[in-house]
Amino acid sequence: MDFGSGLVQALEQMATWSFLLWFLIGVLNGTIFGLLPGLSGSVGIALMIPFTFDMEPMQAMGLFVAALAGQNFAGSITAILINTPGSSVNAATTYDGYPLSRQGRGGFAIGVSAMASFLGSLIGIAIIIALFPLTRSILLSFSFPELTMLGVLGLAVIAVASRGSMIKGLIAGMVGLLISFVGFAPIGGDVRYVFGQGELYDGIGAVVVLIGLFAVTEALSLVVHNQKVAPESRTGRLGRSQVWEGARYVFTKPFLLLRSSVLGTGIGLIPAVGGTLAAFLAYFQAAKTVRDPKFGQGDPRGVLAPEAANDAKDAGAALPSLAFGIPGSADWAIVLGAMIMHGITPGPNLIRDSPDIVWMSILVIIGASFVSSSFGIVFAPWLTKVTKVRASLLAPLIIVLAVTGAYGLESRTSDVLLAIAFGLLGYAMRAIGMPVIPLILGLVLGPMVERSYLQSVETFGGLSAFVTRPISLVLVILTVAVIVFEIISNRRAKVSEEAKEEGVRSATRPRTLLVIGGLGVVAAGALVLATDFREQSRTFPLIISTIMLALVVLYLAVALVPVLRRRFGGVIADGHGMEQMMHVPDDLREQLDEAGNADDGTERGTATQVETATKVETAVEPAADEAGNADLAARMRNSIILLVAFAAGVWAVGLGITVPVVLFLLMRYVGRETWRTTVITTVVTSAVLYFLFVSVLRMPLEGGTLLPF
Amino acid sequence: MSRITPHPRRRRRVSAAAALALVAPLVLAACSDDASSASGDGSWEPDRDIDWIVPYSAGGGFDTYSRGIAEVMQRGHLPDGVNVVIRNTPPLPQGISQMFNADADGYTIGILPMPAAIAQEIQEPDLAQWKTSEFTVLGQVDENGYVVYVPSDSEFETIEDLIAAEDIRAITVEQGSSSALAGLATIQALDLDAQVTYGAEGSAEVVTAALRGDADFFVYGSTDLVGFVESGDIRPLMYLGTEDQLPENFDWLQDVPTAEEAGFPDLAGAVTELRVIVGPPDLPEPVAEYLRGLLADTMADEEFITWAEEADRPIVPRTAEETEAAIADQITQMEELVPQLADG
Repeated sequence: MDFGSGLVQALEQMATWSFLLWFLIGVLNGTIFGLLPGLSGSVGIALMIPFTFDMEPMQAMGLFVAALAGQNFAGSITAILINTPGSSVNAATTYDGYPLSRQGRGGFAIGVSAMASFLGSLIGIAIIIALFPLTRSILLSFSFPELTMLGVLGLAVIAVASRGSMIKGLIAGMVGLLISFVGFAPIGGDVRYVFGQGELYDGIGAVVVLIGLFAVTEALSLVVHNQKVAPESRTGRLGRSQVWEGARYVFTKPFLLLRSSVLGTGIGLIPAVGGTLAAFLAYFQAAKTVRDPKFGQGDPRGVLAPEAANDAKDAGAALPSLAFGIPGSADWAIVLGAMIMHGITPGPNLIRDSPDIVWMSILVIIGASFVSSSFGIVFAPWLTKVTKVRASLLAPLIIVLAVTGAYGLESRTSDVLLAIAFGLLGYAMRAIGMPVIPLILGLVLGPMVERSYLQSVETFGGLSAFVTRPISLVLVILTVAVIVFEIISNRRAKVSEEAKEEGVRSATRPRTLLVIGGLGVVAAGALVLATDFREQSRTFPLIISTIMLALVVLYLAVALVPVLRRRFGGVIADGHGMEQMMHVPDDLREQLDEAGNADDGTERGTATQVETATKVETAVEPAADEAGNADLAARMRNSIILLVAFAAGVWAVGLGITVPVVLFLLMRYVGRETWRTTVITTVVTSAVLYFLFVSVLRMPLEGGTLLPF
Repeated sequence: MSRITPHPRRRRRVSAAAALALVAPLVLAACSDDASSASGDGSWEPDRDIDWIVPYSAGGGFDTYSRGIAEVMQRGHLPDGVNVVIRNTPPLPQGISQMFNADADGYTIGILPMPAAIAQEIQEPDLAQWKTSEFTVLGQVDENGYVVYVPSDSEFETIEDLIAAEDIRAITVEQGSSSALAGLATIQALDLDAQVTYGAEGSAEVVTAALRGDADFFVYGSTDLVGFVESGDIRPLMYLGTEDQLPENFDWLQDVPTAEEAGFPDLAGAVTELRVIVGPPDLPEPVAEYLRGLLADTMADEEFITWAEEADRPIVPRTAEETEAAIADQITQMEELVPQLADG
């Protein structure tokens, strides 16, 4: 069978009702698991494996690939609507997707994401078909130095990502890297920073951190301020026309779409790099190359670029996965495992022996991405209603769902505790205007950079390979260029003396210094512990904790020494930049929304809103009335106490008892819901969760330490 | 497969606590089958799901074998409604510790990589929370002799070329794995002038690194890279197993010199990967007896044999007694070899 006739064969086998049925089930599975925070698509795929044993290999593969391709877009829906990416590949989408939601334009953002996702995978597939003859040479030209530099370029993006509060962003990135060191060292054999906890040996998963930093933090903030995601008054256009407007919008930006998709496909072709990097690089190339950017404040191009890239990336990743058996991602790893189960061996012989499987995968990727995007467009008007649910109902549900999702990953109580801990960390970071996205980038890229760096040094006997190999050299130059460009443009940015002073004032508040100081202690501790590690395991922890400590010392010195503060205040000053919408204190947001409401249109309103943002920033805090502040403080205190109680409860008596109790208390005493609503919601939610997790997914519920069962 | 399956006793309290009127019928059904399974005549049979620990992530060789066995096992050899649940618990020391420290009730078993388990126990006593010799051995699935491979376009035609070469490079997976150990033992026995890069994630990464030219040779299992040999990407230079470990249906391996033929009898079979199924120490005799029979029946099942052939996964089943003896041999060998490797 030659490669071309494989296409005909694949089409013949796919044009059957049973194949289409399995295909649809696969897409649904991917969409649902992608949508639920915590339960990632790979969990869904793994759960399906036992049911496929009797199936024809072709149909089983159709099911798996459909689930894999269907999940990416779904993850962007929660990123847009509740600031909680379905998985780390959707994290970049929160930058602009969530601000759009807050402006009542969630449907529009979903439309953009749906269309960009579909077109992204279409372009990606077109590219890999064109590149087929070159697969091998592309794959083989990326060695350890190139992989290292790709990761480093991603980390350099941190500096860009946190414009306006660069030092804080860098510190957050270092925290992410430190977290990535937990567990087994990729090379060197040491177990690092586990403090005797067996559960930490395999490291801290990105999903658990995402759940904590995004879902829990966002829910906390919503319930404390008792806000809806999108304020009522701002209905704008009807839901469906808004969604179509978003879908059409993508066609008005063909070059951005193409650039982002090409970038995504390229990253996908390189094994082991992953969609998170693809999405972020696409986001920042968009931010740097488009005219008149409003990125971070609800610019639809900030949704278009990362979503097109991460779906294109899946298309790109199909090639190394199928042709070399190197899983491009965790999801592909499970699909490859399932293929072997069915007697299909991915690898160099697959294209020769069963080109029909390869063609089928390609067609299913396009099809699944089309169907899941269509789901999105059809259901978006209903989905966006979630942004109109009052926070006292929505937020406790998000917290409970997210935390249960964290448990669902591995059925480990420790993941629940970690998710809550990261929720509190995220809340502290947000309170002091420290961006959380760099932390995610550090966490996701850390292992890749560390491993490939050590492999480069071992294989090429030193650092020279980084500059003597052409692709690596290009990446080095690109990284330096990104950093230099950023420093220069920061210097040139015109900041009024007034705004600068205000920035310095907000950057030197006591609670800010306290949190930064705390992170400094963590860095110092990490440094001391790192000296005990073996040679190769020690390199990265030593470097990173030293840099982090230096950054903290620099920050505190500038903040506390009057001379330095006058001279170098601008270095630490909070400014306006990419992530401003994400940091602006939440009470300010309300006013922001109102400012936007007063405005008439949609797009023009956004622009005005942004301009007012900096002005309002200075005046807000004293303006809030005292009674409101006291109430706010009480809610915040209660919710934090409840979160800590949640963790303690899970530890002591297990999830089964703690979830209903905490849900009840959160709604009643933080959300101030009526008894009736509280009781009904608690019973129904607990029942649904129990049904989903225990009866359907058959996850064992573990008891706690004090109440084992 | 039925969705409503017998659930363990411990679920009952959760359901009561949650007071779930809506799903009461379901919950009741879920908890109905709760009877203890120990029957009067001292025999034993499981009445709930069995956890099967794989100390590696999903997709590798150990995972594939485990899933293949688990499927056939739960379809035809276990009581209705009792399933085998594969749990991937990397990294290796963590996974093996879990196997070792699980309750000895027959509801947790796992697949143990030898000689990695004993090598880790010797090299990393702090991490290795187990005694390899104390596991309750249930049987063996496969024996995987190691092979020295080079990329097809390599200048090295024979193992002698490799021995004569200077300043060559090898690539392997994580330190302490059986493959890494086999590589080190080879370098030492052949006195190669070689530098090893660790940290590749799985067989495909090892092969691509060699194809890129980042390594001159590598040592990997004979059953893991059949596809790459058949596609002409890599070729074998020497077989490290013994004559009787050589799989008959591997034509490509028949003409490759064994370590013994190449003049390194000590290396032959010194490091052969065994995929062993074990339970925690001191498994009660009726339980161990049941599980051993179950494993043997499953591996003799025509369905399993067909699957293994299709998936290109050779199987070399052994009884618990034979496996115990093989493990004891490897423990003795490793106690001698590992300290030498550490010194070298």
